[in-house]
Amino acid sequence: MAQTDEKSGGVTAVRAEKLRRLVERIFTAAGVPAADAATVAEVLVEADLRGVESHGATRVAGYVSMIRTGLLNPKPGVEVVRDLPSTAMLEGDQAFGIVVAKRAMEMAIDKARRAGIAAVTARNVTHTGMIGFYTMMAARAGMIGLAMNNGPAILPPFGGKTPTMATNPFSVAFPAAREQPIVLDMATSIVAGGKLRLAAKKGLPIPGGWALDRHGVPTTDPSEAIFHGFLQWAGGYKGFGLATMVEVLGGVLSGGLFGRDVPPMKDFGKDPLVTSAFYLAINIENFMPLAEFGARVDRLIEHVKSSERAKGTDEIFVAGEIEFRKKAQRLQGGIPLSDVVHRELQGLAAEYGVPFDL
Amino acid sequence: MREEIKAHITGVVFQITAKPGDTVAAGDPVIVLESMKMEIPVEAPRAGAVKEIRVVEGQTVQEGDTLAILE
Repeated sequence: MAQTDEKSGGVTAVRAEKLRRLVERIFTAAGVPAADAATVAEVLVEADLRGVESHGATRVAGYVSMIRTGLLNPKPGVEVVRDLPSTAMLEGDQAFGIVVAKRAMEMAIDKARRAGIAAVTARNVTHTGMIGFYTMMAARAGMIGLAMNNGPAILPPFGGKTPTMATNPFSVAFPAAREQPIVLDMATSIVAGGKLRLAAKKGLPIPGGWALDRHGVPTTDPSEAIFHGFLQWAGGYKGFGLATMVEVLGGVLSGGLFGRDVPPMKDFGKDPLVTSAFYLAINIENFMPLAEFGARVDRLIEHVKSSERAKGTDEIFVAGEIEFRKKAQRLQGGIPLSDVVHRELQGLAAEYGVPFDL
Repeated sequence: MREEIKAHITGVVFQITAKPGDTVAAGDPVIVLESMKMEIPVEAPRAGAVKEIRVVEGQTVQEGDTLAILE
C-alpha cells in the first residue's frame, strides 16, 4: 500500500500490531529484557498511532545505536532512592526513559490511590518518548496525570543566546465520561526542530516567530536557525517560564542534571542523552465521585466544541482530540511508515536475524 | 597523517559541510547527522585537509561508519 508523503517520499501503511511486534523483536535481540522491549515497543507504536511520528518507530534506530555504544543501559539497576507514602524518587542508571517513566507513573497512581495525590521523580534516564502516554495511564486509572521532562540544553533563556534548557515538554491528562480524556502534551518551544529541517530541505523560509539566528534575533532562514541559531519559546517569555517550571520539577527536584549541566545534544553519541522527569497523579475520588468529574469534563468539552467558530475554522478541538481521532483511523487503515523508517527497521531486523514482516 | 572521521551514533546524513580539498580546523563540523531528531555535528578531530567524503546527504549511517577522510 505505497503512497506518497510530502516529508519523505514514499510511505507504507503498516498494521500497528505488526509494527509493535517487530519493534519488540528488534529490542529483545539487541539485549533488552523481554518485558522492557514490550514496553518500549508499546509506547513508540502508540505515538505512531496518535500521529506523533517524531516519537514513534523513527526512534528505534537511535535507541539501538545508543545501546550498542553504551549510552543506554538495557539492563539497568533502577533504584528507588526514596520511598514515602505519597512520593518516591527513582535513579534511572541510564535506562530507557520509557521503561522508567511507565514505572514511575505506575508508582504515582498506586500511591495516589491511598494518599490522594502522589509525585514520583525519575532522574538520569535516556529519551522518554511521548510523555502523554504516561498521563493517559493516570486518566485510565480515573486520575489526573501530569508529566514533565527536562533534557539537553538546546534553547537559550528568553532574551539570551546560550542554550540552557531543552524543549522541556509537559503533559496533563483529565479523564472524561462519554468523551475521550483531555490530553495536553506539548513542548514549550514554539515548534519542533523537524519543522526547520523540513523547510531547509524544501528551501522555504520559516515564519518569523519560530527561530532565532546566531545573535538571538528572529530569523526566517531555517539553515541559519538550525546550524547557528535556536528555536523560540512558545509564547516568548511565557513558554520560557513554563520550561523553567519543567526544569525545576524534572531536573532540580529529582536530583538529576539540569540547565547547562546536562550533556549538550551536539555531543550526543560521545555523551549520552540524559533526561530527568516528574510524574504526578491526583485521585479524583478524593474530590468528587469519578463519574461526576467525568460528566463535568464532558460538559466542558461540550462548551468548547459548541463555540461559535472563527471564520475559516471547520471544527474546534480540545487537546488530544485530533490524536484520538488519528489513532482510530490508523487502527483501521494502518500507520503510514516512511520509507526511511521502513528501511531502518528492515536493516535492523536483518542485522539481528529476526523476521521482518511489514 | 591520514585519519578517518567516524560517526559516533546512528543517523541520517543531513548536510555535508566540507568538500574534498577544504582545510578545516579542529572542531569544525565536516558532516551534520540527524539523529534522535536533532542535528549532531561530526567534527574534525584536528586541523587538516579533507581528502575524501564517503557519504551522501540522506544516507543512513551507523555508529563507527567512516564518513570522511582527513589528511
